[in-house]
Amino acid sequence: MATPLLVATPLLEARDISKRFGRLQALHNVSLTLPRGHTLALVGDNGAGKSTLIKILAGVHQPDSGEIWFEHRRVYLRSPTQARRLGIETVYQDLALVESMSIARNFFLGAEPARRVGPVSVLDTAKMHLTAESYLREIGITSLTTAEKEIRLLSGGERQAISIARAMYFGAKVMILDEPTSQLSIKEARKVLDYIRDVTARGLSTIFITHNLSHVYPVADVIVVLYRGRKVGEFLKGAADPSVIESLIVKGDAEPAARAGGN
Amino acid sequence: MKADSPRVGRSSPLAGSFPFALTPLLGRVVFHRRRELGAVIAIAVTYSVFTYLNPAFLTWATFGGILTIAAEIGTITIGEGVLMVSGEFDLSVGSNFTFSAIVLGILLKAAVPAALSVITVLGMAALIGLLNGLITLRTRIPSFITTLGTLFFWNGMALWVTGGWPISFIAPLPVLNVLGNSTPSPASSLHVSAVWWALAAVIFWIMLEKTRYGNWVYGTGGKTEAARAIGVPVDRVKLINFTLCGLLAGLAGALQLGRMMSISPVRSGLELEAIASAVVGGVSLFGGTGTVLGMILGTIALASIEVGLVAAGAPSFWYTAFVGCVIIVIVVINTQLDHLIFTRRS
Repeated sequence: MATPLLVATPLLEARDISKRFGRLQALHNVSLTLPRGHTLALVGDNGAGKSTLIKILAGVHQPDSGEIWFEHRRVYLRSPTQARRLGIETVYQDLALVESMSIARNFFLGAEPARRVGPVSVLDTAKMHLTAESYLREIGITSLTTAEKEIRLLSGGERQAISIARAMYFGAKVMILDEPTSQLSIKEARKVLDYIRDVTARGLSTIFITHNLSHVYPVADVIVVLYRGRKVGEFLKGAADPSVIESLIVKGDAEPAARAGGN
Repeated sequence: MKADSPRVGRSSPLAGSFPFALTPLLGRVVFHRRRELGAVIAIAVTYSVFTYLNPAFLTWATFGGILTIAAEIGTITIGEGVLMVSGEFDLSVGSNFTFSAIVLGILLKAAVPAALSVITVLGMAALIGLLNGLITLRTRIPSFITTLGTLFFWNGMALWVTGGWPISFIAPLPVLNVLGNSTPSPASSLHVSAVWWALAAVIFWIMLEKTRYGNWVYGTGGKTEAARAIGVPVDRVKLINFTLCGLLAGLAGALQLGRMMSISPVRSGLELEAIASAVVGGVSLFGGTGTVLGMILGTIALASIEVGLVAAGAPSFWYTAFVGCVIIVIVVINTQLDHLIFTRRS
């Protein structure tokens, strides 16, 4: 199972990652390979270990054992800042944006541009607004024309778009999206999937977690199934039989004949 | 609005979409300054009512008196308000205020050089604030509880070091004049302490609105975990704000000692007045929102009610009862305005 499906230029690799929280073995020797410029979908039921795995890749948790390789080098991700510096940007489901702040202030939170005015270093608000607005146009959001709006006045799809635009601006090579479509209407979810396809077309690699299999097939190049902390399936686009994946998600097992179709 | 139009300027988000016939300027004020609006309304109503009751209320002398009262509470309010924006409380500011003023009084009476005394006391006040922060962040107990503890602790210390007696100066020392006793002009009731308050306000306004640190404060209070996930050092932000809050409480104590040349170790209750002023000025009790302008307006609103009731000859307990009503009314107005704009825009 640990054999990577795509050997071509892996950008990010997790090798035999294990992680235990107290008595709970959250991950058990899980490996995955994200090829450059592709989209990997991580699927599994609640408690399958998806969130733990991406938090390890985002530098939030450290694995008990296993290795992470990024651009052919072994890396140690000790903090989210460190992961971001390497180019691994994570967009969390509910944690991406601060509702009470404006788009511009959110866009640059933690990495604000500043300029010197006498003895103090002040926020470059003009740059913040211009940059945020131009990136929103670039990603194709037509509903937002000013970066002054507070996040809580925006729809769920607009919020995801801002997070994605922000990751692009900060030079992400890998973008990890935690349930990007889970709280969206069908129309908005489709838009967000379009954004994911757009950024992948620009050479970014994305990993996204989802419950909704119908959101997996349109964009994912690789589908990895987790079940109770173990990887139980890995499929290339097109090779995946929805009923097999569903059975793997629910039972962690499928008919042996059907599973062979994945490889 | 076309997607590819070159228009990237900051347009008024309300232009053309608000159902009322508001000019864009007024629209901007309502939209961006709505959180301060409650305090502005309170000041306007207070001024109208008290001027009607007593025309002498509408004079510069009265306004100077209001600013003088507001200066000390307002200095505490800025520290408390900025801490509240980052999602924490400090209930010990009133005790810190009193204890700092007492220690300053003792040092000055012991003929310690004035500058050294003031610096020592401000440093001590900042450490008291830092201690609140360390206890709160290490134990993960809500700051509401930890600082309730330190409220009693420092109040007890103040009573212990003074034996319960006030510390008073008969003749004004130069340092007391500089802190709060001197007046800009003989006829005015405005004390120099208001200048220190204004200076603190400018510094903290720049810090909150114009610096990276200010953005971190809003992020920390708005959604701590989101800010942390994106790399904002949220614990350090809170610790710094606790320290600044303590520093300003100590400064306020020094200003009052300067103005009154006397300080009583009896519990001041200023922590609740500072929180009330901040809330009236639009600072959220839940963190994430609030401006220094709002904190100033909120303090002036409550101070003008206090001065107005005294001028109208009302017994002083009216002030307490009145402030209670004002807080509720203002918060309702703020919430309704917010709700109105929120529903119109979504």
